[in-house]
Amino acid sequence: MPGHFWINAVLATALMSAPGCVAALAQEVEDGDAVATPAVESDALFALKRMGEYLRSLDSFEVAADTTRDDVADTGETVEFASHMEIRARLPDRMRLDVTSDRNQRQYFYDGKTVVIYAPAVGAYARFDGGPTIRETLEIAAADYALELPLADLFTWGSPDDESDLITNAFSVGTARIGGENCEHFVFRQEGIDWQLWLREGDAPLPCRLVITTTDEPSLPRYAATLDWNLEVELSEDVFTFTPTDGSYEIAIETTPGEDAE
Amino acid sequence: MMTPRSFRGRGIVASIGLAAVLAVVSASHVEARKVHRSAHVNVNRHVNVKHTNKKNVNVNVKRNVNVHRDVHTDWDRYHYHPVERGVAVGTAAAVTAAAIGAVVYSLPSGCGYRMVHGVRYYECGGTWYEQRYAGSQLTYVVVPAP
Repeated sequence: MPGHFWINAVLATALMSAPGCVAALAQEVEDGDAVATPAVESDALFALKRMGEYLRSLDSFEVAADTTRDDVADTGETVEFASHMEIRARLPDRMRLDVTSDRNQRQYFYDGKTVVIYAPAVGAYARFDGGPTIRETLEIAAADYALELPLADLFTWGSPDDESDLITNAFSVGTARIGGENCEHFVFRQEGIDWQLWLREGDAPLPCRLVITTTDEPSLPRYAATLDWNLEVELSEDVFTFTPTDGSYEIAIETTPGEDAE
Repeated sequence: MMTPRSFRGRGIVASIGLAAVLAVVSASHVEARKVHRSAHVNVNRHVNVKHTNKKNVNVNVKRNVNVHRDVHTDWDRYHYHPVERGVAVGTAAAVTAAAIGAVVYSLPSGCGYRMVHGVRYYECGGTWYEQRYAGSQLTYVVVPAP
């Protein structure tokens, strides 16, 4: 990162002193094999950090999201699937997630100890042990049960697992209007993904929208989520507790292969 | 504040060792298109980072939850009980001698189920299945007769 600042400083100096040199420099960037100089704008990183701190300061929240996710067929086409999801969370250790996709419905319950995944239309549910917090539980779900839940980032930003230090390029694109809110639009690059984040302006910098483009795949599949927040929410214990119904039955959930297996 | 930016494309060579990963083996008789990969859904991917040095193959399976299923099969049969109706895509309809451990995403028609030691087993023409979650997806694994 100091290197980026140095390059920026050189450019800035050149800008002020010799316009001709700027043109030459720009030409070099255009013609050379090097990609345009990456730069991490400190404003963008600061906004990301501020959002993480704000998310971690919340006691409970409800957020609804309309999402689309691309799959890539083995013949290369992207195939889009849409979902509506609702997260209800009481930090640090209660979470409920309802996902209704264009094909199925799933509910996830985390009561501080156990995770239950349930398919209401089918009746099948499975249980596994969670961790002591939502964040750790989401990590267990992903690592041990191949269950990577969308928007898990909401519980990671601002935590020790935040990977903002892997960002290689970041900039602001200005303000957009999303869901009746003014949201500042940022672009970030990391290895394998380009992502965009829109953050609500003002004292509550909540994510308005998130788009992740997978860049190490030729057809550039995307995940997109537009979020609708409600912070004025009282969540009782039964929201997070799964109660079997007459038609429900328990099944197993596959664990991912062990780490020691070769 | 805004500076002009070049959005020049960068040639990206994908080197994904997914082809060899058969964590979930779909019944191969169906002509359904397979999912090669799914878009990343999270930015913070420490799960992957943590495991990268241990076993690359698993990393991809973990990060791409939906790899190697059929496109369109992750579908709840809202209006039909799964054992009463087969579904059009990715069913096990053509399974004649399914190998133990094979995974399908829906059952053929004409199945019944039986509870054995609290576990629900489906029986379809002499082949037994146990329903399991693979990630968020419901699957049926061919098992020995209980």
